[in-house]
Amino acid sequence: MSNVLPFWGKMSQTFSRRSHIMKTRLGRFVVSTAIALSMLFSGGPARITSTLAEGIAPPAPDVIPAEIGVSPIAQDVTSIDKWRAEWTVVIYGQGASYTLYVTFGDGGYLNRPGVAPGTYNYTWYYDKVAPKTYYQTWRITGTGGPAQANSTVYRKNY
Amino acid sequence: MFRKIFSILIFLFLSGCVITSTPTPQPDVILSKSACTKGDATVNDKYQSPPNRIGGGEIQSGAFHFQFWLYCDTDLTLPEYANEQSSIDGLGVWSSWKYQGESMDGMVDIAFGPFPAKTPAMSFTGGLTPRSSGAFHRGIEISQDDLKEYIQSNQPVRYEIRIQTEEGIFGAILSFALQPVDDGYLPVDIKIQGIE
Repeated sequence: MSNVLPFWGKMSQTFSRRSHIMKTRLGRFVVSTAIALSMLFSGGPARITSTLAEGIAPPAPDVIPAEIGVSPIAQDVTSIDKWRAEWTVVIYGQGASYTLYVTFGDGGYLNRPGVAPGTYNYTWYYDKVAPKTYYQTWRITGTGGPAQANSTVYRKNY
Repeated sequence: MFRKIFSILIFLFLSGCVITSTPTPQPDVILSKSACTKGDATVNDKYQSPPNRIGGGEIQSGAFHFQFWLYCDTDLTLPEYANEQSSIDGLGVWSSWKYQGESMDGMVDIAFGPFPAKTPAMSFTGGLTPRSSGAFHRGIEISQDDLKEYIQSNQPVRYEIRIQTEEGIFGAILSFALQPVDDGYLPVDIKIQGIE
């Protein structure tokens, strides 16, 4: 029968039971003790106020990390193309510009301040040297940075 | 019989004349040990400026500031011995550039090597921004035969860095002579000049 009672019927039943408990002395003692204990262990009203104050403070704006992508990350160079290595470099970030610092693995470097996020092409010639693997680092600094990508070039013997 | 012996003797005599008339091959161009003793070893950051600089300097060309140095480096050895090659054992050329002008768009092409620097060294898109900079360093990339020709004809060895932008061509040339001394050759008369 109770399963089919409407919502208001259930509520009226609950209130009538509660008023019956509060009428007895033991019932009042149990209820007041329960309320006191719940306030004690919850930290009381002061704690609630403090928690709310902290929650109201606006969160710091998130800075999306800057990223740099280099393609390809590995390539071979030969005399056919005059030991020319080529890369496409993509800079992502919220900053208006970044400083790009590249080392090409043979002692050469390139430093470019004020580079806007976007796509750029780079060419470097590994000329007149013996077979070897060269390691490049591509590093950007600026808003959301630093970020770095690495690549390799293998210079073949023909 | 006598004729045969005589003809053989004449043949041997003529052969000897041919052999002795062959010009004596010129010794290889090697660096005198005294060349590197005057190097400036106080500069140790290889990526910003070469250690053991033995000559060169700085020059302005348009909005570009160039450094060009001849320097000693024991890692630079003859091509058949190591990865870091130089046809003059222990001698290298180092050059850097720094852009001091306004931002400009377009392609940037940089050539570096024996004069005239025909082979490109690097290029990139996106133009130039103030304080952009870069550097190259390599061993001597001129063959021993060509070096000997320079010495015999009393011509200086020249290296060039050349930057082509939408605003024009800028660069510098490093030149030096190779003076024979007791234990090899000494780079002398090391000069830097801008290109027009």
